Amino acid sequence: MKHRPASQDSLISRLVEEFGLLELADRACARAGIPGREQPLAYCLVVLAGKADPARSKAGGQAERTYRLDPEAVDFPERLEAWAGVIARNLRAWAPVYDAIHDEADRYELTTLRGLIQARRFDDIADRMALELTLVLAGGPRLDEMSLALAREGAVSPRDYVFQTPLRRWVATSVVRVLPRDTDSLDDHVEVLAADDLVTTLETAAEEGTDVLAAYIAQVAALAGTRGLLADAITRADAFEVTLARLRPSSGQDPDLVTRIRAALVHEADQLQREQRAVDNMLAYVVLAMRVAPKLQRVVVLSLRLAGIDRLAVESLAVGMRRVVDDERQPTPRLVRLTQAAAVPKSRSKALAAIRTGPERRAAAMDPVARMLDELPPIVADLRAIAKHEQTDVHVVEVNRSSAAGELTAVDAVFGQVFRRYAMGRT
Amino acid sequence: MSSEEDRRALERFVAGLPVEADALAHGITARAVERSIVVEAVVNGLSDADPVARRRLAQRTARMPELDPRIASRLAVLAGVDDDEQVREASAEALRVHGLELPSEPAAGTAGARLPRDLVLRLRVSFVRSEAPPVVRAEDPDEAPGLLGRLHLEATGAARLELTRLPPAFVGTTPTLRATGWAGPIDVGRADGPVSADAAVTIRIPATAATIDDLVDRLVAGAELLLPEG
Repeated sequence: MKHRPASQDSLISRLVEEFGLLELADRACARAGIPGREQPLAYCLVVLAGKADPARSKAGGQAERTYRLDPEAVDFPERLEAWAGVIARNLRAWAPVYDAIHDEADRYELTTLRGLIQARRFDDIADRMALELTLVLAGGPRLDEMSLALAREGAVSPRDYVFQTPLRRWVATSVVRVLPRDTDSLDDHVEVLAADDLVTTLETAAEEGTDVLAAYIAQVAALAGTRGLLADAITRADAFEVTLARLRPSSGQDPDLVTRIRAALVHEADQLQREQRAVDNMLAYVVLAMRVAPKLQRVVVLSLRLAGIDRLAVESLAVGMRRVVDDERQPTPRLVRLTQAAAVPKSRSKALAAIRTGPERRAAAMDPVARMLDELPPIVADLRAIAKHEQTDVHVVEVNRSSAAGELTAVDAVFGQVFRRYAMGRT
Repeated sequence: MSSEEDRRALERFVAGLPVEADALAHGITARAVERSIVVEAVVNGLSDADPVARRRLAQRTARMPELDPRIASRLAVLAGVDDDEQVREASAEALRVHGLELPSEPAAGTAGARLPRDLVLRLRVSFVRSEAPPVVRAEDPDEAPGLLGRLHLEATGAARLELTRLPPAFVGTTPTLRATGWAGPIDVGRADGPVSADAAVTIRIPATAATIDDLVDRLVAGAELLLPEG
């Protein structure tokens, strides 16, 4: 029977009431070992059942529908259960990758996507990666947003990815549909992945992807003449423009793309300089203003001691924080002004004011902070280690860390950027 | 060089530690390449034919800790003129979350949004090397992060100022360049077309009785970009 798409709300109601969608999602998640994913799985099933499902040519020449999820069909309950199992297995295998791509994109990073790239040619890699990222970002909400409530809102697209197939294959197939000229090279490399093969596949793909993108970056860096960029961003950008003007089409470069990257180069260099200038005041805020929220302060300090951060940078930040304790130039008038004007608890301004009343009061106020800085472990493995040290759970640490990032951003956007550079995006 | 090595180089630099020049350059470039790809992807998504995709991307930009000016420019356009009401609302909300100005609603029967008349961006014109075109940046970087301009002088005595990464509020406008230094403010040039969706514009400065050197001196003494009266 041909499936006729029903209104989203009535479809959901029917799936829940007539076909036990929620119980089915529970069972599938339990079998796949992914507790807590019941709502995303239910969302994916709803969207999948609502997708148009025309017959497509398969191997052997016969045309078949892919999903065959017809609520009127006799075998619908079995097929729904079967697809729940498929989605659950793909969620287990690919949810972390899917989440990471979304999270990293928020920070203008591509670490995980680089492990998925399919490009084999050097000169189209940036455009290919942009296309693939667009497909993932536009192809569905974040996992933590997937729910039946969201499905009822009807904000779904017929192109959406709902873990009906491994993410890598879906990206490759979708790219092929957008760029059909690549069909012959890509389809040959698409394969069904078992969860256990995931790590190996990603590592292999990462090696291939890193080779291509690393070579591209090296070539752009040479083109930009970015050596010593920070010494004089404008001068280097000038040299970059001159070099760009001399490009020959046969070089294999894409001048338009490199021109776009030039704006990003100047931005990144400028941003790094701002962050470097802001570090001292950011650390001063953490040490002097946040001392009136000791639990939050400890999480912030420990987050700046995560093992994933460059070891020398951790030590430098730790030395910087310790130096603030006795540095009578801190808090600077600028830091005091920023804090007073910021949408942060008034206790922070009061904490800064109290330190400026005299050396004796400063010493008394900072003594506990100095002890805290000296007694906290110099390095912590991960958030779990922070939680264990603070005798709380990881969720509380995550909430505190996000709260700290927001507070630092409220005082000065660059403070927040510095904190996020070191402490966020790490587990 | 791996992305991990790039990241460490930048972490050390921000912490005030010495970093080998090539490692730092590679790290900056890697970040710039990734940033430009992500920006391209988000702008692509915001330009998708499917309103669900546009709305989805607009909503996610509200979650980004920092908004790239190209993305902000695209959101400003969507907030003003997208066909889909939910896309307009999501785009406007994303701009609000980032503390950015919303485009005004267009008046009935008119094309384009009316913007505040007091929108003024102070510029800093400077020389880097004597043989290089004067460079233009925002006087206050926080007003226009990343704004970059080049003042190209022509043999005819005219000049053109090419600006990129203008604040979103300028998108769609035709601003005027005014010299504000000694001898009083004077309008010296006008955009040759509306500021593009990716926040770029060329300001044409016609040849006048004054010499090019006089023009440059006036601009170095003080310059601003503003919207014309009326």
